[in-house]
Amino acid sequence: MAGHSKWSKVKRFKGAIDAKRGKLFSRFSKEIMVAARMGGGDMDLNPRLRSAVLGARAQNMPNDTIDRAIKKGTGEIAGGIVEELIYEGYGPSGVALIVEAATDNKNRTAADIRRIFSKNNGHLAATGAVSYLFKRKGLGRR
Amino acid sequence: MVVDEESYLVTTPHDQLYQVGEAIRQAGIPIELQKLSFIPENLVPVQDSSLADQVLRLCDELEENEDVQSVHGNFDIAEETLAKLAH
Repeated sequence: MAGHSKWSKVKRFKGAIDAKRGKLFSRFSKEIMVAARMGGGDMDLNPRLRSAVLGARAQNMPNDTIDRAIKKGTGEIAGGIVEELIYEGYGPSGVALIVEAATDNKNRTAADIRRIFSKNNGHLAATGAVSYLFKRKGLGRR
Repeated sequence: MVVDEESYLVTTPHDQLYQVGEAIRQAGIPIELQKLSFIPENLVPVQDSSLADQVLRLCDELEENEDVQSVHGNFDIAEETLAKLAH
């Protein structure tokens, strides 16, 4: 837990406000698309979608952008199929990292992430290499 | 639950995330962020400030990537080291 809150403190120190603003909407759009693809477009029946939409609204994402993302997820509008992937790797000093991605092009994403790790003195590892070092938990922040 | 100056961070078993979220919202408390996350079992301290800098740059660059939704790590960087990096 300490590492987690220290990491968010670093963001404040460096003056970067949580999830770089420009990416915020695209991140929410992807989460909405994934949730809708997996569990349908009905917020009442899809808790993950409901949570994603509430989060997007809390960040003032426009309703029509939200609706478009839901429709892309269910396939009602063509938008490319967004898949969730998890990458695992090592950083400098033996730290373990887990990267959650959502992409419509797995090959491009894998290549990009591999390159980022290598460029920064780390390396991408196989699935399962480090995930056992983490617990899967639900996280809520007010 | 962890409390810092600005927020409460609540963890739940991963299959109860949405029920707990709903309960908190029903109590009138707005939730800014709610997601499944990876919490490290143990933290790896990174004391050397240039290594710490490299770790943070790696995380930054990963987070900048178009397709990355989130990055989780098991590193622990002390306040003093963070302070050095900010200057």
